Amino acid sequence: MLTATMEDVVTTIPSEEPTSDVALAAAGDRQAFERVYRANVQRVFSICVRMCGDRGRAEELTQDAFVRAWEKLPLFRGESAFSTWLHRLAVNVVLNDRKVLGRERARAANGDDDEDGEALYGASAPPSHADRMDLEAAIELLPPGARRVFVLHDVEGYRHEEIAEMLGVTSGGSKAQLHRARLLLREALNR
Amino acid sequence: MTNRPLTCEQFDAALSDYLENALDPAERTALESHASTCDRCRALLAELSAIPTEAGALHDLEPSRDLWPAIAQRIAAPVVALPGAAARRERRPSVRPWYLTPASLAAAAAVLIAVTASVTALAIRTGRTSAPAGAVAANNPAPAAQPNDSQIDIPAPAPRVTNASATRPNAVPVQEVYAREIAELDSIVRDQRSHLDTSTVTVIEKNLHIINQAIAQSRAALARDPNSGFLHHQLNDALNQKISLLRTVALLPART
Repeated sequence: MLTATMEDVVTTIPSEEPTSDVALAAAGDRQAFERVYRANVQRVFSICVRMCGDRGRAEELTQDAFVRAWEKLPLFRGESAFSTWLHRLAVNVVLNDRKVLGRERARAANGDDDEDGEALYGASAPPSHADRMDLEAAIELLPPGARRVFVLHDVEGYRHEEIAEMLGVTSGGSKAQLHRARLLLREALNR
Repeated sequence: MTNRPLTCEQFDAALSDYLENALDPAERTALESHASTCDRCRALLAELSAIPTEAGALHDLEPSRDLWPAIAQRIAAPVVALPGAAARRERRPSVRPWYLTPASLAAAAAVLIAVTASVTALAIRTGRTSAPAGAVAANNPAPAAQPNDSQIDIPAPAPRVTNASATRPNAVPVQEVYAREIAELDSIVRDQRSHLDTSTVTVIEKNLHIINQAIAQSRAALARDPNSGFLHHQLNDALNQKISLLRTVALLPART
């Protein structure tokens, strides 16, 4: 199963919340789960917003991720750090959401949504970033495919093999998207 | 790659592999050698190499609002279990509300099934060849044992309503069957409404209003022309849409 496989290979990240809160939450203690939420919400939100490129949607996805974490907590076996498990769960929530939206957008655009990437930082760049765009803003404007690979690889530290499995692409495809993302980011940051 | 100096095009082509540490030592040396003599390629290499470092140092971001209240409401509200999920799920202690227990969820599903099954049964007793479309899925016997109990059926197009039932002494008029099912579902939806997000409720109410208007218009037209097959069909369609919407809402997880 994908989740189990990926959880096994993800590098362990030190957990910030006391283990007891995770255990209590897994047993159904909502107050403990709120503490778990408070300790992790910024990390989860960061993943969501960088992956989907839409802050409003990212807030909804963050809520979805924590609701899903609440539902899945009894299945958390502690074989990886809780934060690693939670981050991966958040990535899955975003990717599953993307699949739905992606299908709709693909139908609407009748083509690959990434094909417009080269024009991304053209005249349509937001005026608020007119001076010099920072990396965060530049990531937000990347084409979806390149953005997902970049965030997963360069921000979150996943390997190409893991990303390929998550996104259903080849490892070579992941590498190509990453290089493209870096080139686009460089172009944006040099404007 | 050979020992000859690289061109900028060759440099560009090899750069991705270089950054991925996928070049052999000779290729790496050739690429670095080119970069040391070409301003354009040296800048490109330096800037691309810096991006992963900068990306890894990005700070966490904060949502614009506290997301916990909505999460708390969602995890406290009833959720319709997905098929198979209950079997995999470990038993939670009694901290969870009673309406989250598998038994209560099963009971809720059974209510829905019973409603649709009763519609089917009633319609069959009328001697019709088709039941209200909202009950079509219940024609399959023993639905409680089906793994898809919690899934929402999409009603098939409604059959034409005729006046045949009125001529049978024991027949239940189809409109009465519809009314009974809608009343049952309305009751469930009323309970469910408080657990739903306000934007969801708004969408539901808007759609219900449109469907109710269509029902009212069809009935008004039928009052003037009671023998119109087309109008019966239109009314039936609208009622089926209402049943479908109510059933969907009844099975919605909270705060969606």
